[in-house]
Amino acid sequence: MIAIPDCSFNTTENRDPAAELLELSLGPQHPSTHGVFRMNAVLDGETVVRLQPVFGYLHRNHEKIAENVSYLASIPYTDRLDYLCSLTNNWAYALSVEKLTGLDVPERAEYIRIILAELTRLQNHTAFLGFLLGDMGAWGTALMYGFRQREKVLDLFESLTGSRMMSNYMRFGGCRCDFPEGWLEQARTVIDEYPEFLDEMEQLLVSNEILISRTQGVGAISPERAINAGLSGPILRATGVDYDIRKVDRYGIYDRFSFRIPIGDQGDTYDRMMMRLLEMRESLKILKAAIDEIPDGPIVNPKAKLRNLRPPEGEAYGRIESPKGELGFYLISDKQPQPYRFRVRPPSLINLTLLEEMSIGHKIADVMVILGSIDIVLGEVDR
Amino acid sequence: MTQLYQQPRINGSIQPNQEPVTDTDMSLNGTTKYHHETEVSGIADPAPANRLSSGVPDAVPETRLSARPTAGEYGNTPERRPFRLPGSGIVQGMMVTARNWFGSYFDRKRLVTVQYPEQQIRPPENSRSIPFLVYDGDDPDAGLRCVACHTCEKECPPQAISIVGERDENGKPARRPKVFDIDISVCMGCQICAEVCPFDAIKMDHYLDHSSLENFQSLILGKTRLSKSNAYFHTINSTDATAVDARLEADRKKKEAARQKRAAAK
Repeated sequence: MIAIPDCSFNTTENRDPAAELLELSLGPQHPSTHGVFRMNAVLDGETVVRLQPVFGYLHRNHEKIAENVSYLASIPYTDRLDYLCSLTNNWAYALSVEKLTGLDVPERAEYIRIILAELTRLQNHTAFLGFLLGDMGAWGTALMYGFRQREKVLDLFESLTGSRMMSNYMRFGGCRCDFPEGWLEQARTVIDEYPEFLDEMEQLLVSNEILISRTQGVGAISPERAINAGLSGPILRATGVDYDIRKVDRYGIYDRFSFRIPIGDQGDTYDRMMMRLLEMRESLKILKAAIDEIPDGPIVNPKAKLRNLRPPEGEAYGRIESPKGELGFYLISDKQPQPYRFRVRPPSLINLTLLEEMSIGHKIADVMVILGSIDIVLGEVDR
Repeated sequence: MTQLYQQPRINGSIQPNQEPVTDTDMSLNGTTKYHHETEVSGIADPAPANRLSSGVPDAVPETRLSARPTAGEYGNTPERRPFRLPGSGIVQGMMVTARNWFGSYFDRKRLVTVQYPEQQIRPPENSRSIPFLVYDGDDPDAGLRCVACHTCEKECPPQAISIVGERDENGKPARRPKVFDIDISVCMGCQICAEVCPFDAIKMDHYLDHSSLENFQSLILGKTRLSKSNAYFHTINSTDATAVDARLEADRKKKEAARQKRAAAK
């Protein structure tokens, strides 16, 4: 499905040097394409006339592999979808299997899940800010500040799940292991220090005149288009649509926490960036409350089967608000140890669909910023 | 662009009592009406009618960029297009850079790196790289806990483990592996083998330096290279190792008591 741009505009007969369009292939090996992603841009001068994304370089056949291994063995594969947020991927998959089997999750495990999901959101958005600023030319500084802070969260993940990124932690009906000693205190320290980092990041970047002129009014989309294209997550909310699955579905125990959903009003790159900054502040509220209220108790439903899980016949769609948008897993079971059908609804891929529409009419240097503001991870786009 | 929705719920034009957008309203135009079954089996508790969340009854009013409080709650986040002295934002940003640069000479919080490989940070106990086989005592062959039950081989997601069980002279399984290979170029370190092992025989290592000049045979680790002593397990993850020791000891005692009971009954 590699798309070749239409080259008929460059015929030799009517070649007018002043009106000649230029095809530019960006990627797949390019520092600002966030992985192996290629864009075929057609430029009029510096302005983008047409843009075709080409992807699939990182295709690993995740869905078909998952139909051939047991339910348990798919969990480490979901880590590798959106490898920045493996814990939310785990949760979405565990949620759909729990719906399929009708398993309950103990209270403490629900709290653990919320704490980990919000920490994931924090570290994803922190990395996002660094990468976005890197795309804008602030290469290195903002990224390293972001990574320095993100590493503190990843240390928490490593001491709990064993791995910084490939966590493989959530299980059907609970979680794999309980917090090691002192984990919650360490987490509280990280959370308490986070607003300081956010203030510093905002002072560094958000009021910067260059950044404002590079982002405001760039890549704006209307809420109608956003809904029509199926966008979700911060990109959708940046256009002013109030839609957050944490509030709509109230999966887990999100209804017990008081937090607000940031809403933008222009749908441009600046709004998309601010959505993430504000969401981090809201996540901190949830985290503080969750860490204070977390009860003791079992972390996994004793009825849950680890091996040889054969869910009853049926289908289930479990979705959560991952840091990038709506992440869903659709499963069909035919009472076999493997799912009959396994389908991922990846937010990165669907958010990418409006890339051309956002980019047309802007300069080629803005395309990088627009792509960065969508916040894609190619592991999830290509699957 | 034509009118796409009957009632666009755009920021600013939302009236509190307006009917929320339903799935049928979201179809592209009047000619293609998708009918969405909201009650797909599996979607537990689909919020009735209120698919968009400002319709959720007790939703907390959402934060809007345009109507954001300036002080307090959100720190220094500036308003959209505020008036400020041209260039002041850049100067402010450079102050942050300067603070980090000078701070890195004094403040441990601003200098978090170490001089690897001379200095190395000890990984947390739960940290994992690839699996290893635990043996008790001093003899790696006799003390191996593995009984070649093939559980990890079956559960390994990328099928990196390959086991051949030993047989005694009568052809009966001898409850120990003859071959236990892990292809670490395939292994993804997911620890499912360690999780499903009923005998606590396979555990996750901290060792990370697996590079070798040769690509194939040196990356397939056999039984001898995988076997590591229980004492080593104690050095990398003493919490888990102590718990495992206690569990195995309790098992052994239980079996011992059962055997004595059987002997007494005879």
